[in-house]
Amino acid sequence: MSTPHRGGRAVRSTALPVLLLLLAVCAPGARAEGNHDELESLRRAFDRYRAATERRLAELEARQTAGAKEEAAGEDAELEALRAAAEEEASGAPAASTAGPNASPAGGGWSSQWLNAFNPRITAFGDALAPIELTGAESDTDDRFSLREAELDFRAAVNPYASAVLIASLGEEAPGEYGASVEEGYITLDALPWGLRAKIGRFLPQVGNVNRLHTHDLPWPTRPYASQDLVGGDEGWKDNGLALSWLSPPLGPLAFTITGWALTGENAVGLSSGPSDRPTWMGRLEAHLDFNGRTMITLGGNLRFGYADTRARLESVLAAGDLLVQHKPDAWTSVVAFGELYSLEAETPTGRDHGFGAWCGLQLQPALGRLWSPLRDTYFGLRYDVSDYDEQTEGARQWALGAYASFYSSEFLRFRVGLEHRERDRSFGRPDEDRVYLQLTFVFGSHPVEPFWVNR
Amino acid sequence: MHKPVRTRNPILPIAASALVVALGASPRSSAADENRRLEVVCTLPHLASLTEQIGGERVHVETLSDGRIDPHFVVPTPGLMARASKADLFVEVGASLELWTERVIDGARNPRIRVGQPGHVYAYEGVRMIEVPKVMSRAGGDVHPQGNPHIWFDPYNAIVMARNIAAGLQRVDPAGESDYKARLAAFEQRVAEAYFGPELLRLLGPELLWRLQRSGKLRGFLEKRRYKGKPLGAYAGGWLGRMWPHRGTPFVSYHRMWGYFARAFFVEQAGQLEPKPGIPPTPGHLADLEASARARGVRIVLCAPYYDLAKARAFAKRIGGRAVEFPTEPHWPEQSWFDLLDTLTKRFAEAAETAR
Repeated sequence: MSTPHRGGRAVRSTALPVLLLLLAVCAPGARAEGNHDELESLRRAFDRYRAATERRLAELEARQTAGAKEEAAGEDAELEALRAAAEEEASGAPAASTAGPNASPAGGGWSSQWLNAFNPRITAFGDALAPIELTGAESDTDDRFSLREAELDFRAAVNPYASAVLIASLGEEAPGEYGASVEEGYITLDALPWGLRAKIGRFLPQVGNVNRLHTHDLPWPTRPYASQDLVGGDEGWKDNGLALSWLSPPLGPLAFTITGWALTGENAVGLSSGPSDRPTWMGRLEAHLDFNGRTMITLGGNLRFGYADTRARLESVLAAGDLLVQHKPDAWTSVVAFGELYSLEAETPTGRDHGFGAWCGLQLQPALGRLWSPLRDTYFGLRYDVSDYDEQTEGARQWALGAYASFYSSEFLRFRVGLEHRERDRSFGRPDEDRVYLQLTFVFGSHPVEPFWVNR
Repeated sequence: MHKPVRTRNPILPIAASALVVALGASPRSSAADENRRLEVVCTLPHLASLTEQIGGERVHVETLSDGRIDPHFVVPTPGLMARASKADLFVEVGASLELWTERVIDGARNPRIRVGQPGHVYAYEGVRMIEVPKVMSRAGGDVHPQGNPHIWFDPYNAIVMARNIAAGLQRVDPAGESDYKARLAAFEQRVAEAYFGPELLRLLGPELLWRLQRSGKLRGFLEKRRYKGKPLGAYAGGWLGRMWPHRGTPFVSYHRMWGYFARAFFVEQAGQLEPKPGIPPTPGHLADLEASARARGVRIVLCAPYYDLAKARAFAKRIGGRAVEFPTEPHWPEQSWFDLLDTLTKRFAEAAETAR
């Protein structure tokens, strides 16, 4: 609305010099003649001129104000029309001040899907293996391809404070014959006070990191022999009982977990070979260092106290230590170094048995995906094992060295090939063995996220 | 070696002691103390930035990932669990983006932040999802049942997410309600100004503009309408004004994740290097994509920092275009979500200029 002001200033700027000029010309003459009449006449002329100028100025200002109003009215009308058109265009769209509803799930069958909404999430795993003996064939190993194990994993929240997991397994017990078992079945109480968490039921008690892995999750075709010989056989140690764990507050990149178990002592190497009326106790301290999610170090130790024979009160003590170092700078590159050692001391009717075992391994993901994308998830590994494979027999020690390559076409399908050399003390008549393993592992269903100790 | 055998005993005392512990379980107080700041743990930096905008001085915000790792594949370590253990509020995008949070929340042993509790926020709730799969099958790759979860590249979605965060903050800190509401209103105004620019905002107002945007009619309206003799699109400022000259520009990306960005800024997704979400590029697919990209005149290849930029560059070379590293997260706390959108629109506009 600046135009009227500019017009007014223009009129004033023209009138002012004229008036000054008039006064400058007339005033000296009036003073010289001393003629009062003439002076009056000039004053009247000046007043007339001023009045005429002011009228003219008022007219101009009025005209300009009217023009501006017309212009503004035109603008308002255009803007109003624009807004009306926008309203019309946007009609039917939800108000921006409220969030819109979520889209329906696929297929639009949402109402029927509600019926299944409370069903547990289900994942199926299949693990097929073909061991091929190169040398030292033993009678208990066939050169054949078989579905070594199939697992069904069910998990769901039970209520706001507890969740449940049930894992059923179908394992090949004889060629073509499968037996069903409960691998794990437990609830976790995740909302306990003081930062505690409890797990109750049947599960894999954590001795190091390997004994919390199911066979299909292992980064190798075979469970480390040290773990087999001193912890829980070729399928791991599963037991019934309670685990209670506490997680420390973060101390910079460091956190600690302290876990205690009370277990029946079932199905474990070095524990009771007969009925027992005393529990097995185990404790574990674990330290975690986490550097921005790319480099992680986990150091842990276990101490387990139980009975090799509860009736005879023969005690058994297992001590274990483990280290896991993971470095994963990006999706194409990773390095994992890990190892565990075990010492088992058990009383016998005639004295004490002692067994020792250890394994260590290295796994590399050498960024082959940068050369050719489909090879992104390719891993190479080495593992060395040493263990007393029969703690009751002095000097019955074995060692093994294996090399492995794993290729994941996606996180749901893995192909693996392994080569393993294994030697046992020849004085016991066990020949050396060389084996090639071909392994295929597949997953379908919801597939829960892998925990940090699973190293693909 | 002793053979393992089944023992008969101590389950009863164990179960009894577990029951005693379970009965003692009770959620901790959800209300924040008056004299301390709320502890808010967010999964990703952009969520931390939004939370900071709404929470202001009342909150202390942490993020579990720095955004340089694919948000689908963050490893749920005990370190993350420990950080979540003290949180009053846990904020995640949801929509199956951060599947790892389930393990973090379980491991955190913090009942306040469990899903369904007042201290848990799914920021995606209320967002109108796109690319919802018609068939739910792993044959489609890593599909997300709820649709594309990369929602924060559309400014309006950021407003919805901020509303969810504000609601979460009010639940755990009712005393701060007026603060959070005031900050939310200021945030919404700032987003509107940053997206539409001041002139367009003055002409049509935020409510009308957002409704046009959400109904998918904003581009057509700005193109066909004129005001004071000029096309309405010429009044767009901010991010929209920057991108307006490049509307309709096609691009390909490594992973299918830029649908919301494309919708908000009127550019077009013309394919992905991955044949299916999460499946690495194959030679056959790249050959097909090259042919279709050439036919559509694609010159821009977008690549998030955690994908293989060398592959994107190689493909860009094949089509005579340019690969652009497109960040998915701000470098929080130095940068905010506003800086992220500013960077994305600048980089796209520069690439589009160069490719002309």
